[in-house]
Amino acid sequence: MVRIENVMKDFGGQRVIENLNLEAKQGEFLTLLGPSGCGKTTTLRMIAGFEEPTGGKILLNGKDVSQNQPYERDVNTVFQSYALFPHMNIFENIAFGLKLKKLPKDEIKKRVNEALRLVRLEGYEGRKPNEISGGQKQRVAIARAIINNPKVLLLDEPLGALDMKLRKEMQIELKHLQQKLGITFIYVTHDQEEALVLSDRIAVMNNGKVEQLGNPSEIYERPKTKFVADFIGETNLFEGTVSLVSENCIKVIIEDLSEITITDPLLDKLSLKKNANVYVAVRPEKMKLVSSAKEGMNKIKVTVKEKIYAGSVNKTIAALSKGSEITINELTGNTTTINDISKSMFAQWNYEDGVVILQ
Amino acid sequence: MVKKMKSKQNLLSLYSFIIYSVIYIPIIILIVFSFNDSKVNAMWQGFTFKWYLELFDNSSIVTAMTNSLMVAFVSALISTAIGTLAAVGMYKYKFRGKTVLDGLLYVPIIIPEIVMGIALLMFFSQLKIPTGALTLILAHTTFSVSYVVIVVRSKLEGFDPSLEEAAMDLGAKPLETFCKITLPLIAPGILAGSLLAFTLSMDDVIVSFFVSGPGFTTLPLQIFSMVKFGVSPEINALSTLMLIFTLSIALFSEKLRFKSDKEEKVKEKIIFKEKINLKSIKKIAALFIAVLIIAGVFTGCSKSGSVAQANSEEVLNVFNWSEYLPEEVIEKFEGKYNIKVNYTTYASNEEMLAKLMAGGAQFDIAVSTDYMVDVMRNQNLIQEINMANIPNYKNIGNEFKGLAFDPENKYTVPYMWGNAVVAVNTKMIDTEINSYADLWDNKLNNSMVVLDDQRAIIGIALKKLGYSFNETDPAKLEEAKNELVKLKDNIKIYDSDSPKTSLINGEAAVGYVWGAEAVLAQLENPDIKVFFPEEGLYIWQDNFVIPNGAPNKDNAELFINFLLEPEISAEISKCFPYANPNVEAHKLMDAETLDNEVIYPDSEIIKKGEHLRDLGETTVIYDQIWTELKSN
Ligand SMILES: Nc1ncnc2c1ncn2[C@@H]1O[C@H](COP(=O)(O)OP(=O)(O)O)[C@@H](O)[C@H]1O
Ligand SMILES: [Mg+2]
Repeated sequence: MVRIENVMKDFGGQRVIENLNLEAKQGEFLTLLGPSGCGKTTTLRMIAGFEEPTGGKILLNGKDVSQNQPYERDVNTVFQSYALFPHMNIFENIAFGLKLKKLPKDEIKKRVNEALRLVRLEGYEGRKPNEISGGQKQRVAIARAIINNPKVLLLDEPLGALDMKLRKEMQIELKHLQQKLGITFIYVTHDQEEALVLSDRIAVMNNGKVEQLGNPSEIYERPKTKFVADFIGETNLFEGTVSLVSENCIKVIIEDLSEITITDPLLDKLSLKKNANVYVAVRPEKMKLVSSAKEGMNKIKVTVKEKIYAGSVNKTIAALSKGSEITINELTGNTTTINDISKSMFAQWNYEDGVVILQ
Repeated sequence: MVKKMKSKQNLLSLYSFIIYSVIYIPIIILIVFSFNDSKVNAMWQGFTFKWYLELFDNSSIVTAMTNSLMVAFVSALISTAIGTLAAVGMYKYKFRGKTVLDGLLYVPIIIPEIVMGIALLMFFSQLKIPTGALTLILAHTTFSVSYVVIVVRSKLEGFDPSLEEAAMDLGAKPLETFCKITLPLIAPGILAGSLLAFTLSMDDVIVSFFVSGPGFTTLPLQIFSMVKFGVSPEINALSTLMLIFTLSIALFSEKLRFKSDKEEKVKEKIIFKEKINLKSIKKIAALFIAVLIIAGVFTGCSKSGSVAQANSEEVLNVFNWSEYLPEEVIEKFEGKYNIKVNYTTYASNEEMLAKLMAGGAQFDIAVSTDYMVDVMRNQNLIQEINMANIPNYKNIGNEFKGLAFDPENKYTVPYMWGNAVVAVNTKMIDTEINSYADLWDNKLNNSMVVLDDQRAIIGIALKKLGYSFNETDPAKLEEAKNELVKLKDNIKIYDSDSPKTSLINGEAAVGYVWGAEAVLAQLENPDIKVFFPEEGLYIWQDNFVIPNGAPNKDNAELFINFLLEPEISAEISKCFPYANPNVEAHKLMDAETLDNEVIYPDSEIIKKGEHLRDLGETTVIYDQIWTELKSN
C-alpha cells in the first residue's frame, strides 16, 4: 500500500532520515515508535507530501508519488495539534474535503453525518472548534481526515495532548475505527505501551533508522537490538561473552563470572561463535527473588537494595557483586519475604526467558 | 502606613489628571471654539453651527476633502494588497537575504518623513511624473505598506502553519488554501491594516506637501495653508470633523483587533455573541473592500477624464498664498478666457521657495514678498515678464514700482502691500507710543505681543538706533542685539499668525502687529488705537512672479493683466484687508476703505517706510541674534 524505498532526508545539511525502507500493507495498523527527535514526524510528513525526500522513493499503491503535492496524494493526516479550522464550525470542518470536490450538497450532508456518527459527535456540528473538548477535537480531526475515504490515514501522536484516562479510551476507539474502516493507518507515537496496544506491526526508530520491525509480541519478547530492548518496557541487560554454543542451548558468562544458559528455539546459533560479546536481556517480571536457589534455572547472586510497592507488582532493586543493578517484578501476594533489605539472595529465571542480543 | 498609601494614591491620581489634561484640554478647546459665534478664537460669544455650514460652501475645502478621501481610499487599497502579500510571503518562505529584505520593509517607518518626501519628489521629477493625484497615491502607498505589513504579520504570528497543511492535505490547492483558510483567519489584521493605511494617508502633511501638485491638494495641506491668517473657527470646525473621522476609524480598527484576539482566548461561554462578531466582521470587510474598489474605479475614471481635459484645454497653474484671491475672480477669468486654473496655496514664502526649488517648473505664477524676490532672482528661479502683454501695468501707482528688489520692473508686478504698526489698548496703557523707542519703556513690562518675525523685531531695534531694517554692519547689529535684551522684559507673546487675539482679549496691552491685524482688532475692540512709529514703518509688498520654465507663460501674463483690471482689482480688495497698489482700482473702491489710515497711511509715512531686502550672508547674524533672544 505504502512503500518507502531508500528514503533519505536532510535538513540544512544534517541527515535526519537515513536510508529508510518500510512497507505498510493494506488495512494494516503500522506504528512508528521511537524517542522524540528520531524522525517519525519527518517520515510521516514525507508520506503526506509536506516534505520532499532528499533521496529515495515513496510509492503509494505502486505509484511513485515522491514529487506529488499533498493535494494530489490519496492520503490524509490527523495532526498532532488537530489543526481544526477555527473560523469554521464542526460541520464545515468535516465537510471541507468534500466541498473541495464540489459534491452535491445533500451528499455532503449525508457523508458528514455518517462521519459524525462514526466518531460519536452527532449534535455538535454547529459548534466552533474552541467550543468543544480536547477529546472531541481529536475525533473531529479524525472525521475530517477520513471523509475523503483515503487509502491511508496518517496520525502524528494524535493522542499526545489528552490525559491518561481519555487516551486509553481513545486508543480503543481508534483501534475499532481502524478495523471498521479497513484502511491502512500509519501511526506515530513515542509511547511504547500505546504502540503495543494498537499496532499490527511496529517499526522502532532511532536516529533516523528503523531498528526493528515486527509485531508487538516480537518487539516485546524478542528485541533485536540493545536499543529496542531498552526502549520497550523494562529490561535487565547483562553484558557477557559466549562460552558455549551447542545444539539446544548457549551459555554466556557475565560480569560476576556466573554463567547464564539460554535455550531460545528461535535463536540463530550460526551467527554466534564462542567468545562473541553479547547482551542477554531478561524482563523483570520473568525473574524471581529467592533465598535458596533451585536447580534447572538460571541463578545469580544479588544483594537486595530497595523494595518498591507499585500496585500490582512489587519491585525489587538488587545489585550484582560487581555493583550493577537489576530490577525484579513479582506480583503482589506472591512475594515470599517481606523484609530482606541488604540480604544476600538469588535472582532466578527460566532458561527460555533470556534473549541474546548481538553487540 | 495606610495614610502613606493614601497620599501615594492621591499623588498618582493627580499625576494622571495632569497627563490627561495636557493631552486632552487643547483638543477640547479646539472643539468648543468650533461652535463659537465669533470670528476670533478669543472669547466665547455664543453657540453656532455656521462654521460647519460655511465649510461645505467653501469649494476649495470640499475639493481638498474629496481629494483626500480619494487618495486615502486608493492608497489604502493598494498598500493593503501589497502589504498583505508581502507579509504572507515573508511569513511563509525562507530565502537568502530574507532578513535584509525584512529589515528594509520597515525602513519607511523610521526614516524622517521629510527625507522621504524630498526623496519621492526627486524620484518623481526624475521620471517626469507630474506631481498630483498619482504621485500622492504612490507616495502614500509607499509609507503605508510597511504599516500594513506590521499589522498583518502580527496576526500571522499567532497563525498555526499546520492549518494550511491540513487544508492542502484535504485536497485544497495553494490558491484555495489561501482564500479559504489563510485569508479569513488574517482578515481582521488585513482590515485593521487597511484602516491604518487609510488614516495615515488622511493625516499626512509632510510627504504630501512635497508630492502634491498644482490644483491637487489634500485636506491637511489645505488647512495648513489656511492657518497663515490665524486659526479661524472654520479651521476649528474642519479639524473637529477630521478628528471625529479619524478617531472613529481608529476605534473601529482597534475594536476589530481586540475582538478577534478575544475570540481566540475566550472559550465555551460566549458562543452566540462571537458568532455575530465574526459574521459582522465578514460583512464589514466585504463592504469596506467594495467601497475601496468603487473608489478605485471612480478615481481611475475621473483621472483619465482630467487628463483628457488637460490635453484639450488651456491651463494655468497658480501658486498663491491662501486666502489671497477670491474664488469668484478665478471663475471669471476661467469663463472669460476658457483657461482652466489650477490653484494651489502656501502659507509662507519659504514654503513656496522650497516647492519651486524641488518640484521643477510646473507653476506658471507665484506670489513673492519683496525680499523673497531677491532670493528667487539670485537662484535664477524666476524669469522676466513680458510687460507688453500686461497693458494694465500702468494702473499700478508709481511709488510701488522700481523698488530695490526689482529696480527695472522686469520680474515683478505688484499685487498687495501692507505694513506693521503699533497697536495700543488705551484702556490698559495711557501713554502714547510715537516711536519704536517708546516700546522700551519699562511701564510696558510683560505686556506686549509682537510679530514672531526676526527681521521685524531686530528691525525695530535697528530703527531705534537710527539704522536701517536692512542693516548688514555686524557692529551695528551687535548694538541692536543689546537693545533687544532690554526689550525682552516687555515682550509677553510672540505671535505672527493671529496677534489680534491677545490684543482683543486683553492678554496684551500693546502690540507690534501687521496693519491688517490691527484693523481687525479695532473692529472688535474700539479701545485699540494705532500708532505709526516716527522712525519709519516696516512695509511689505507681495508681487506676481513667473517661475523659470513655466509651461504656460502667456496665460500667466494674461492672468496678471486680468487681475490688474480696475474692476477685478477692486473686487479683490473688497475681500481682503490689505492695501492695493492699483490706483485705478481705488476709484472704484469704498471711500471708507481708502480712508483707513492704518491700511493706507499718508504718502509721507509710506515714503519713510522700508522694504526688506535679502541680506545674503548677513542672515546668519540675524539668525544668531534671534536664537539668543528667544532662548534666554
Ligand atoms: N523543518 C525542519 N528543519 C530543520 N530540522 C528539522 C525540521 N523538522 C525536523 N527537524 C529535525 O529533524 C529531526 C527529526 O525530527 P522529527 O521528525 O520531528 O522527530 P520526531 O517526530 O520523531 O520527534 C530532529 O532533530 C529535528 O530537529
Ligand atoms: Mg513528532
